[in-house]
Amino acid sequence: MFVYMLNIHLILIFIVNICQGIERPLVIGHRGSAYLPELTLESQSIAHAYQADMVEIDVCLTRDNQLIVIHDLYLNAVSNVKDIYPNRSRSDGYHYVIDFDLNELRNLTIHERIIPFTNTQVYPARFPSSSSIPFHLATLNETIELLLGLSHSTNQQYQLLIEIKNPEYHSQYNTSISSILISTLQAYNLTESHHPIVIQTFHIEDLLYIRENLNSRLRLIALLTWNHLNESSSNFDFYRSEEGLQKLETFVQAIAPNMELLVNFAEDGSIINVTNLTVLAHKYNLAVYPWTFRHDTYKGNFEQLIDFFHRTVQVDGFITSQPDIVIELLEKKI
Amino acid sequence: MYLYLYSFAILIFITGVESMKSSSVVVIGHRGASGYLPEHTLPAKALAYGQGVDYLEQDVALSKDNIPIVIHDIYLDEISNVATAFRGQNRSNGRYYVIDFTAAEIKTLRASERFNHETGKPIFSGRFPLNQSTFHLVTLAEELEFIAGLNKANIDNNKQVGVYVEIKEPQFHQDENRSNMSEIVLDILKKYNYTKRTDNIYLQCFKIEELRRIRVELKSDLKLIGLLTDNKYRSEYSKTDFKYWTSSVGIEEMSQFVNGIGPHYKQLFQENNGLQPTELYTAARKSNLLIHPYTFRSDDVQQPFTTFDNMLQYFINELKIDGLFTDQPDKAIKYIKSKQEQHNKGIKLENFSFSILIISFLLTK
Repeated sequence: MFVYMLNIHLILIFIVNICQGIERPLVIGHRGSAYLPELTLESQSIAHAYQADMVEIDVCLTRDNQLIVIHDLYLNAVSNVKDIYPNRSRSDGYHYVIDFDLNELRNLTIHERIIPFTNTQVYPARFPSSSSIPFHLATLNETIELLLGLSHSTNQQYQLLIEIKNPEYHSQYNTSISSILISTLQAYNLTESHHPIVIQTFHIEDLLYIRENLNSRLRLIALLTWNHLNESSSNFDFYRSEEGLQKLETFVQAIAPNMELLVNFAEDGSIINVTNLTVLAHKYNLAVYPWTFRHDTYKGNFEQLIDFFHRTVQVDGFITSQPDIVIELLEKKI
Repeated sequence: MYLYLYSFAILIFITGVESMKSSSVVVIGHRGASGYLPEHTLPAKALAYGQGVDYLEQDVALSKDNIPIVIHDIYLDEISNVATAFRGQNRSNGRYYVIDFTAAEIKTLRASERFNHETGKPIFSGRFPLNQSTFHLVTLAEELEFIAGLNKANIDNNKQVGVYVEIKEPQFHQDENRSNMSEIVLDILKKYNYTKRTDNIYLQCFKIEELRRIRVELKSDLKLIGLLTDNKYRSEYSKTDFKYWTSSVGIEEMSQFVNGIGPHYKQLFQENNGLQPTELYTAARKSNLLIHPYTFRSDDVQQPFTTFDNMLQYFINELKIDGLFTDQPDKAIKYIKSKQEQHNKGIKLENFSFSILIISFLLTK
């Protein structure tokens, strides 16, 4: 009888081990991670260390058509541009990336995000914004080389999710940022759906352009938000509808919606109900990757939040600034 | 019936003994996670931090303007583009010395994976490719600030990483009229609140006499580690007699002013009917010194070891070292965690078996 029960116990241990191998949703490191100044090579490196499935970065164009890795169209929230180039701001007081050549931007020092023209750190619990460490602005090329070099030295595959910032703004300067991106990636032989690059943007028509006019085979994701936020001229009401999702299926692999499009939150951060967007997206074979899960600013219970999106909403991945925490929570549950 | 009871009692005993063997070895990111990213660059340190090291290592050498730079060599020409950026500013032996350049000049260099300065070829094949992406060298102060910032950002995660500073080539620096190198380093450490033995820091050096000076004359309370090597491998500038310092007498003398030793791992064992600990190991244990050997490289596992895991197994589980320097912290930590899991499973099995024993005992009553 003891042998019988011992065997049961050993079988249970075995089953638990097997279950831990079951795949969890993707975890995407938002701008690298929360622990170092956003989008720097250091922030990307620590996200890779945490085994984030993808590192999410944003790209904008410089005056000389180079792709640099920065979230805003201006430099004032993350750099000392006003000290280095005091006379190069526009009339609104901001210094715009597109007004500078790459070699000028290389003179800047990057820091943790502040509210421009104040000394107030946006995320107080994060890396001190007042530090004098010479963090640098990364170019897309440096980012790709870091990714590929690290894949080589660790013998592991890392992936990059590249957001094209405001393509319509960039076309005002007679440049197609999407075309420049695709040809930059092509120079690294990054062209196919199995290559470790995914592209996303709020301007859905640019994704269609990339797919149909530029003939790219890379994986594409449609960022979704509300029309009134003016992220782009795309009609998000349409793209969130069944007809819109059906159209998206023909040229993108996934949607990346603001998480508030998938659930309705109460004031205290608790979740009231689930919308039908995830179910509809899945109906049209679109994966769903909501943003942004921030452990340091979420008002409610973060563990419950992740669990809810995982098991009830059934999203396919999480875009989060704390990939280490989300991975740990997801792996614990299994 | 009783046979079953007895075999269970033995099973419990065995798992009980097995579960005693857990370790609390500290993992030191040797020059960061240098197995994966260029040594001593901030991305290499960020990677090691994320992989879960207990300590990040900083080698320091002085610049022309006496600023401690985080760099392993007293030369710049095997980990940067100094030979092209400052062509001709080498010494007569062809080498480019850190001490001949200001910190500002050094910060303009492009740091890279280590390469042979004569052939241009990488020292370790399979590591981060040369001439890819952009890396820089930093000062000790910048790296300490980096680590402090990361620790602050990670307070809620209970992840706090310590520093492990090596003062490089004090004899060379003394010959260059910088006999106060240790004072300069201690000053910077003090600015970042690293002064006491309870602070999260180790200070290490190959010049044992300098460690004595730091402890006795400079009256430092920091934890000190005596780095050891063989006389035939010591730096050309070193006058330290490692034959003496690795002997029982030398270890006993050293134990009066250091807290531990940092030997090459080969100095801890000998092959003699299997692997046996050396006199050095025994002497260090006898004097209650910490043992932190260097360097565990998964891409350079040498005889008698055949895999990285079996090398780790010998040092961690047999010799029970207190810490180790590794270029691949993720692998060392993975090994340690898997041992911890086995230990936990051993405990679970033990508890389960024990309750079965009780139940079966009651049932047979």
